[in-house]
Amino acid sequence: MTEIVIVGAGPAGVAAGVTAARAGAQVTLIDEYDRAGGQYFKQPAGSSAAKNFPPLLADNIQKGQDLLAGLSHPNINFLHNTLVWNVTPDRKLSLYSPDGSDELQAQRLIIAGGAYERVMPFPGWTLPGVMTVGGAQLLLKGQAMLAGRRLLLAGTGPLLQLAGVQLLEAGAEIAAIVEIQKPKTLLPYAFKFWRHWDKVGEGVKNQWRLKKAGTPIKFGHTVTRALGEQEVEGAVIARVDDTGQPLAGTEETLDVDTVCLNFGFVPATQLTQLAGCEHRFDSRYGCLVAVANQHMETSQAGIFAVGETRGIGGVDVALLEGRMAGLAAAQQLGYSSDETEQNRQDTLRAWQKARAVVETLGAMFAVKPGLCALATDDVPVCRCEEVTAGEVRAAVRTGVTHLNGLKPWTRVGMGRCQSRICGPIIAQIVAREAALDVKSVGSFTVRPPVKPIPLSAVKDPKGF
Amino acid sequence: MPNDSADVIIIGGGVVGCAAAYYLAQGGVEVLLVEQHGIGSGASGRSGGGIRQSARVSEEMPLAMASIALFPGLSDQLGADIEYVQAGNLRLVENPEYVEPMQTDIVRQQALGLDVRWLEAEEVREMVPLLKQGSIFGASYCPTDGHVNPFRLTTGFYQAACRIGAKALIGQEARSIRQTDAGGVIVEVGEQTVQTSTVIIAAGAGSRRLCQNLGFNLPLTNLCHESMVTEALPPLFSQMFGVFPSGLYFRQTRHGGIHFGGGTSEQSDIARTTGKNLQATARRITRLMPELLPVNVLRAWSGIDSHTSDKRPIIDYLNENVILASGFSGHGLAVAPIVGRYLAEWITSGKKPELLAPFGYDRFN
Ligand SMILES: Cc1cc2nc3c(=O)[nH]c(=O)nc-3n(C[C@H](O)[C@H](O)[C@H](O)COP(=O)(O)OP(=O)(O)OC[C@H]3O[C@@H](n4cnc5c(N)ncnc54)[C@H](O)[C@@H]3O)c2cc1C
Ligand SMILES: Cc1cc2nc3c(=O)[nH]c(=O)nc-3n(C[C@H](O)[C@H](O)[C@H](O)COP(=O)(O)OP(=O)(O)OC[C@H]3O[C@@H](n4cnc5c(N)ncnc54)[C@H](O)[C@@H]3O)c2cc1C
Repeated sequence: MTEIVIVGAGPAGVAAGVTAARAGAQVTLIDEYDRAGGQYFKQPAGSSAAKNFPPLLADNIQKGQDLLAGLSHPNINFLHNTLVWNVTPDRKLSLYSPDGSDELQAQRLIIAGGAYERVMPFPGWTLPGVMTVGGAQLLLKGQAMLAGRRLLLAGTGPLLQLAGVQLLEAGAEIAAIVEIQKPKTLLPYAFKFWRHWDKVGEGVKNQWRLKKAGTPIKFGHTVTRALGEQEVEGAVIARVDDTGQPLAGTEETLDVDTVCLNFGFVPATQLTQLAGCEHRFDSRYGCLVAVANQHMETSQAGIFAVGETRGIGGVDVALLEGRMAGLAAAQQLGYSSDETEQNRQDTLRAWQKARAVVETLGAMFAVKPGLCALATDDVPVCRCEEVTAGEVRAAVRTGVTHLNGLKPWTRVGMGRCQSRICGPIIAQIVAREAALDVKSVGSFTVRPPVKPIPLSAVKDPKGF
Repeated sequence: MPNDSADVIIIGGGVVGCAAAYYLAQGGVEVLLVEQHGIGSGASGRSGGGIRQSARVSEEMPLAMASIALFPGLSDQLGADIEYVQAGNLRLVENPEYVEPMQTDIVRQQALGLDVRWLEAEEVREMVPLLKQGSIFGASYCPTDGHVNPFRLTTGFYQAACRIGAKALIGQEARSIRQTDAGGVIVEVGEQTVQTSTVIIAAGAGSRRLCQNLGFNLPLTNLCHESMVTEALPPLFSQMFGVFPSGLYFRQTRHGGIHFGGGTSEQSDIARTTGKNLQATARRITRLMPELLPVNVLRAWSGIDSHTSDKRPIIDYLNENVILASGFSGHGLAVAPIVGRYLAEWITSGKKPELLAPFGYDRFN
């Protein structure tokens, strides 16, 4: 029996692992990727030194390396390239890696599965040359490659501008950054930031750099179409109304070869759902998030949820929550740390403050239901099974009121991604078509395996 | 005062309820189908898709044979491709001890008029070269059996019924059935009440509770079991397979995935996929077809059907207004078309179809 198992080696999982290990617990840290770091601290391949990268990226890579250095602690066993494909409420995990598979029984389990990027389908979004902003960052960080020659960044949220600066520094040409929110909707939130000047400062700095480079930032706009036959040869953008619906007659064509999308993030709750933890619907992200107390423990005793799994929080929140969960789990197993009550109170306050900031950010950049109008009937919404928005809408007209109810009618959510990518989008489309709120249309039931794995691994969990 | 009325109310939008709605509407009857979740969301949409007569208990054999006779024409009649494949059912025998019992069972089924025969292991492997040499000791083979896409079968009946006038309330639970002094029934559906003279309970795993509310304590048990599907593969075989004695079943769908399940079931009212039985099921199929070892599993799911102690359904009037059609015991998909048709016939003519004789509820008294 393993003392503490942590799924996800992003900032939250690593912070949890290092904290628990230093308190004396034996930790098994698992990630399906070949390197630790998660989304934010993704590390370059090989041993490329941070100094080969432009300033903003170099800084990020260095900070990541500082954090990851803690993983050398003798109490930490890091299993990389290892997918956790099932979890039961009594903390039994099924693992799969290309060199074998295994089962683990954890005394305490910390789930730090992160988040993935939300995309919105529109005509042309399946063309080569359309990717996520994170995909472009990954190329840059992982392989020191630019995603394209002339880029359009479209969607919503602070990542667009940050990635814009990173790409500019690396030498990309950015035709425009289009942000669906309007300044007038963002403004009312400004006062909430009065105690968090650092965050405002970051945003202002990024805007200033983009301005200096002559990159237009178009608020209240969205991408509506990617042009091209074989690959992206251009893109159309348009103004949107308050619900996010594009306004006819405001279209503008841009000469780009790459479109990078980020419409915010979707918390990865596959594992917390399989573990039977309680979730709540968060209307800002339009999906479920895991519920946990201030020790990060979920409704299932001994199972903790940290970082993005609990609702998009960003890196500061992830680090804090990781530490808090690592400590709580170690303490439950009888380990004590040298942390004083004062430290603990400070951490709690810092966490509350950090969560408050991101709650505000979440509200500022909430999902816009009108964007569904971009997915006209002939646009594929489920890429795995090539189901169009029109087919989904036709199913709704037969009386479907819940996402699971679509399956007898179309193959949405029945492909390789198990609705991870398309689920939240389809929820919006169904809700709009059926005139219901997104919460009531629910989500596709999560089932094992969370990602496809070979029969050989299902058959024999102890090696092949 | 009831908000609405219909000649017949069907509770349950599974394959049985949808088939009944179709045949009733065809006879000009005004039907209202009530489904609490979604069409096909119960056992029907989660089923293995096997459309077989073989290996049925003798009492059910004539019904199954009459149902299979309906299948070849269904896609045309319903105006929906139900992906019906009539390529036979192979019941593989994995253990030499079971060869004799299987052969005896074949004789029983032949006596009932079914075209079913024994194949030696080599004959089976000629039909299905993917089966590993030495993994089986022969099989029972019924060439008129086959498989179907259970989603398509269910939605096919549903849509065809709606086209000819059936009405439906989807996403609403039938909460209670009450007989009135005037000799009719009131069904509470969500927030409304609907008046009718006849109710069909075709509520699958929900039937037991509805019967209890009417004062009938019937031996219906809800059993849950898990199945899986692989990624799409090129066509490998077209038969439906059952395995004796492990209970494994599998087929390749039109989409290309290999859909397999079976084995242990648990008593449960909630379909929760724990993954507990996936290992045993994966072992069973890869023992027979080791070439499937590297194939990816895409997802697993579970389903619940209502079972009776003698593995036959109950299809009978519980009182002058309420007919129960449930307890299909894990193999109701194949008989659903004929059951739907006979339910319609019985209600419109008042005469009990002969083949329904073995399914009275009084056999449990
Ligand atoms: C493209 C992108 C850019 C971002 N940029 C910023 C930014 O600039 N600033 C900011 O504050 N935040 C940013 N974020 C948000 C970011 O998710 C968090 O800041 C931070 O990375 C969250 O840490 P985490 O540990 O919760 O999750 P992650 O860093 O996402 O780590 C989760 C890890 O869990 C692993 N995992 C998940 N499921 C399994 C499984 N079943 N089996 C095995 N391993 C699994 C994943 O491989 C991953 O490594 C970004 C997110 C994305 C997607
Ligand atoms: C995993 C699995 C594999 C199977 N494989 C096969 C096979 O290969 N071949 C075969 O022939 N059979 C198979 N079966 C059996 C077959 O699926 C069932 O016998 C058949 O589908 C039963 O249909 P039904 O309409 O009676 O029930 P269901 O499909 O369960 O439909 C009942 C419906 O009633 C609804 N309902 C319940 N209560 C209420 C209420 N109070 N108000 C409103 N609605 C309500 C439910 O939501 C449900 O949709 C399998 C079953 C399972 C579970």
